[in-house]
Amino acid sequence: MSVPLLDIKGLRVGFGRGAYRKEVLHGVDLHLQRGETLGIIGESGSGKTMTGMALLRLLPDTAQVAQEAMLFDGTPLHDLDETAFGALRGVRMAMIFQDPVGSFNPAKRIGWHFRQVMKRAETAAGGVQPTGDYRARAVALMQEVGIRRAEDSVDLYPHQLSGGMLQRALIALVLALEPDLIVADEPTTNLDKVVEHQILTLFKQIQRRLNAGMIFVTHDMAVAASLCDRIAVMREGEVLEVAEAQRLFDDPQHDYTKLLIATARKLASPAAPRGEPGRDKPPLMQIRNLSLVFPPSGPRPAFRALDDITLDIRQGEVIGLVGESGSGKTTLGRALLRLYRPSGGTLLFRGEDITRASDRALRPVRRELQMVFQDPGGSFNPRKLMKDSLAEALRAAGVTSSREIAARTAALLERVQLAPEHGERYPHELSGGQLQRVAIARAVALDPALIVADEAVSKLDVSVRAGVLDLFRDIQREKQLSMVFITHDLEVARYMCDRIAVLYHGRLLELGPTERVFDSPSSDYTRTLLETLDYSLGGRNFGQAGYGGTGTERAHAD
Amino acid sequence: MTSFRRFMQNRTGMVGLLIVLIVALAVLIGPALIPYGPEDMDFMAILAPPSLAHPFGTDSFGRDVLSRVLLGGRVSLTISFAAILVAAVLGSWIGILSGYHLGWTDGVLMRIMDLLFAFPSFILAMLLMVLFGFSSVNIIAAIALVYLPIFARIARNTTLLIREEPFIQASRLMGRRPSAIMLTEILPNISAPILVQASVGLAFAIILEAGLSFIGLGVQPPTPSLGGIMSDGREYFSRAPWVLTMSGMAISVALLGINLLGDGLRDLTDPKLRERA
Repeated sequence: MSVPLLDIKGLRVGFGRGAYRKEVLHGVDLHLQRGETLGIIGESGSGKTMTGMALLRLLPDTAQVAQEAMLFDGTPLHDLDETAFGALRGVRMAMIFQDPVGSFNPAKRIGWHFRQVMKRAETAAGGVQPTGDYRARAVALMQEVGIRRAEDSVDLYPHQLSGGMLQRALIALVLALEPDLIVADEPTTNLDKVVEHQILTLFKQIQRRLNAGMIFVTHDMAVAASLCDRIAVMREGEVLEVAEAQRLFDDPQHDYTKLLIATARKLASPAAPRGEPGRDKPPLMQIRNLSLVFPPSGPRPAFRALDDITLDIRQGEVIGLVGESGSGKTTLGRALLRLYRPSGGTLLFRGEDITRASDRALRPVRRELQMVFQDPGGSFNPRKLMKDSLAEALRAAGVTSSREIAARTAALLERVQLAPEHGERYPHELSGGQLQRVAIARAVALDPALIVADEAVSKLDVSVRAGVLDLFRDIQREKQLSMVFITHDLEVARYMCDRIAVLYHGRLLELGPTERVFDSPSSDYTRTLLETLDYSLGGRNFGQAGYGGTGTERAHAD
Repeated sequence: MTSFRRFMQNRTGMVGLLIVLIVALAVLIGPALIPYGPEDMDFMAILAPPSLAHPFGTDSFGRDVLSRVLLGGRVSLTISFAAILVAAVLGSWIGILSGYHLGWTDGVLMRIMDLLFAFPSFILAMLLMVLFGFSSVNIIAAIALVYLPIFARIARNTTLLIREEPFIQASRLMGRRPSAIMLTEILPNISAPILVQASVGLAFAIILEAGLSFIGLGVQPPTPSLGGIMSDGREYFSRAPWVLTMSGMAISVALLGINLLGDGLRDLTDPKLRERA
């Protein structure tokens, strides 16, 4: 067996001193061969990002890093001083961050970044570099990663490119370096599904071309499964298990791995269809030719966020709004609740026109229209105890006696499977999943007819996601309320929804029962969207050689 | 009280708090401890240099400067504090109202604030004093009016930052009245920057008050005020430099304490610094 490209033994990272010292990595062992992709999977707080950062010495000065061994291509990294390490980092070791926008200097053109990187690479290679034509090489690289009109793009500023294009540019920069090791930290998490699909394909291609070792940090089981040769599962600063991707899924050893895989599989399997509830009853909400135009502000022109949308929300149904970011799904959800004032069309709630009702006139209706937000952390007043936030909702619903409020608060917490002591805590003392449960409780406290859930599980860890979704569904059945479920995650939509509405650039492209939309989509865009599912856990290509290639082509180091 | 404990660890803030407490104690109970009243004249000791009997010396009427500085300090601090309190309460209210409702409410209120801002603070205060006379209440009103737009802007900007937060939206969706939302959801969450601004503003208010009294538009004699004492001291600075120096030092110490306290509070509320602690 050859010398591994990277060999980490007993990596420990801690913060703080004395009694306040907190260790976040407790002895991580990992190794990586040239040409191999190692996936690191874990939830927030598992230390997966920390591992990559410690490797590249990107942690803040307050972090204390210790290791038994950290060998890069046979060289012990921890013996190198800053200068020697600086010559490696960003030259032989490259990092791709989650946020492509933040990775570029917003004041400089794309081409400037290429010039910097290429100069660096050449200086590090030693010798006086020939005056290379940076621009031509940058354009060539950008074409290679599929950036349209690369000649023009090279002169643009970062904010003029979309997130997907920027991530491509970032990958092109990495290509320019031709590094031996790439650390990619959730590089597709902020991107839309369709774009994510393309970027992952690109990753596979360049990784094969460079024959570099890659560490791919992600929370998404499906992505890891289709991209990585081996997968390391991390939790609470420890590596629980490392195995070949296929073996890990077929025969997980650790209970936690089993839980992660079971959760992912569960979401991947469509729920049993239950017909179309509320079909024969009068619709709860009628949306007719709704449009919404955000007025121009400063240099920005007016923006038509919703364009002629006609849709009924039936009683007791779960309707999914699906689409990429910027498709208007969140705007539509908020317009339904009259958090925005529509520019055109009508909005009937129980037959009553609320399109232009004033805030004051809306107040009695408000209680019936509730929302669960994407960001569980921001959903609660940070200065209030959870039980006070619930009490406030109950008071708004007309409960006055403090004894009844206390009793109902306790019952609500119990209903969402939390203990009474959770009520005595502040929002920052609860986890995302727990907060989202309280958010559901708060919405239910008002006894609404409609709940709009805006990406309500997308910020939650995989292992708690299914639990929160099930809670949503149970409560929806129990109270027979209607639910608008906004999500970019097709698996979640399939798991939750009776009907699906696909939005694209503010227009309603497709509307139908879930199975019908998934089985025989009527628009091309929906078909493209559904193709991204091929690589998911339940998808056609799961476990197949991965994105964009066949298995035999892959260079195995061992 | 974790935030109080964090404040205890902030050396700057603690030194500031200590100085402010000493100054506050001095002006509150100091005058009662000194054997001379601020208006007791001692013609045997006119313009006497600092001594054990008169630590800050005496002025041209033989009045004890220390006693006058302490009482003047009390007057100046009371006026400044009241002015900042009025400005902070009114300004936050205007700012939250603007930031929450936006639209024409915002337009009208903020243009008024711009108008106030456009006047140099000293000129504005002078104008008000000339128009409405020289009572303490008017001085308070004048200084408050100078600081009103600053508080209004801070409150408006921070309100804008959080008005789209989910917990505010959730509150709206409960059908709660806007006034209740502003009071229970927005105000507690924007109070930190306002508090910081108030402590910094207090220092400037003291300077403004001293300046007004110095040029004779503030507190009227014979009531002592720091600016008034300095103004007297300037006339015979060459013969008795201690009158001006000592009263000026008193102002400096008070400002130092308040500014350090303000810095400490700012560190406390800066989320970037908070992470490091």
